[in-house]
Amino acid sequence: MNKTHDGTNYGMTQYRWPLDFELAGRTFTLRSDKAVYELAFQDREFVELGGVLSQYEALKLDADLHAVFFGETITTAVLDLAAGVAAISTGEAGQYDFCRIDGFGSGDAALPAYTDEMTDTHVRWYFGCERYMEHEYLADGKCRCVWSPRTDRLRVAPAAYVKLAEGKYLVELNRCSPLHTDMPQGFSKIVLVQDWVHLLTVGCIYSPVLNEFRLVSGYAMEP
Amino acid sequence: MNLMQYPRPEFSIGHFARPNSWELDGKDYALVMDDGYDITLCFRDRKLTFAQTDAAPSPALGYYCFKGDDTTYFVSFEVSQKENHVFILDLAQRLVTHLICEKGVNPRFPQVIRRTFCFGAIAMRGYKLPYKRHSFTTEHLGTTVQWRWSPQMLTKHAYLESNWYRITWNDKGAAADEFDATNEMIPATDDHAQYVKIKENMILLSVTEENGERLLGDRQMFRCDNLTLLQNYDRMYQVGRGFGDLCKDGSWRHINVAFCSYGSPPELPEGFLERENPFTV
Repeated sequence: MNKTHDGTNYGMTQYRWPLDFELAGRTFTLRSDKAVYELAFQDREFVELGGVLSQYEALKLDADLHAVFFGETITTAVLDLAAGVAAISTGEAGQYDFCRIDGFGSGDAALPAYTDEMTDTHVRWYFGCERYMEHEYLADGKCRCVWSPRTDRLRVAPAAYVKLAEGKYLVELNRCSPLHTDMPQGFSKIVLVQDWVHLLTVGCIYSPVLNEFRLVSGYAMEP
Repeated sequence: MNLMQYPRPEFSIGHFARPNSWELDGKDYALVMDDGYDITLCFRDRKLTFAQTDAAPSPALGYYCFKGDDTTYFVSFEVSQKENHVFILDLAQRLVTHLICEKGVNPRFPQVIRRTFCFGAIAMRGYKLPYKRHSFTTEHLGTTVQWRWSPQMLTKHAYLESNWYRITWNDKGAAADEFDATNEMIPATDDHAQYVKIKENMILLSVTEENGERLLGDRQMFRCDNLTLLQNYDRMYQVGRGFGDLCKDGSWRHINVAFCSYGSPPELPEGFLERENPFTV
């Protein structure tokens, strides 16, 4: 029996990597200029932040780089345990707080920060068999997007670009795809944590309308 | 800058390798093996020790660990450059597959790798040992799949016989650059393979590139590598490692490389599936 298929059932989430359970049972204190966040991962399913318990899912992009997604409106937390730094979304579209993690790293690693280093990048991220998002990262917080298979329909999305470490970036886009693409309808928030050395990404797509999120993983190719 | 031009090393087949999973750190596993030689694996501080019945434990060894799915772990480590072990720890079913790859055991072809499989169960407190096992399988025969290993490298596999696999690639690309010269010197690309069913839609594939070594010896660069791949046909990706040696211009280099590749339905050249395997009667 031929086991190969084109992943229709999974769509854009087809190549999603197995979940990362390394954080289970651990607590991390993130400190920025503005706030202190205590992320307590109770087990493989639940995390507590600010007294609120939420279900979470996590993927890791590097040996010590964990991308965590949780909460009602999807809080993104990217923890770089080797460098001892983190980026955590604040709840407003494209807004992140940049923190040090107590007890990790030497304390002198550069904090994540908004960046314009990604400007002029043109890439196609594949998330399944012939299912991709094509991005052109523009200046002024914009991104030109195409979703397979409708290469004729282009959208310009508001974008936030964060440099996490050398070769590693976070991109957040807030825009729905046109109708009849491989992106499920209503999923208007896309967060990708990208490794430009290995050309790999992990991330999350979120629908505030359906109140549903799904994790994605993929690889990059020239468009 | 266009980050597609970001300065990056030459990864070749390991370009899309996933990061190591450290989820097993701090844990011990008692493996009850069907050959009677039980094994204890202890994971500490990102190294493991391996102890078999009536033998002293190994020193702490570095290891690869990749997940095939949320509860299935591909663990690979080297005892030496001539001996590599792979364990598939299937925590959901409490089963284990152990593969030992050894070089230097064939007196005529010292580079040819000998593979030894053993199956068993994982002892877990509060559970009886399961009686089922991972096992060799033929249920996937007839599978054809294209695997993308890097932005430049694509290969196409056909699994047609229980102890063989067949491979091809596009006329242009990294695979042609790396493999054309060798494969033009041998009758066909069929080579030795074994397939173990781990669970529904998950197969462990172990390929040993013996034919090139037996027919060409030192006229080719890759000196009988073993590629062991944990294939997830639900999500259409595979993770694994390559173990072997490379000899170029008289200079030897050991290979112990991790990889991950993404699958999709292939377009195959005419006659690729129909031609006979010239290495079997």
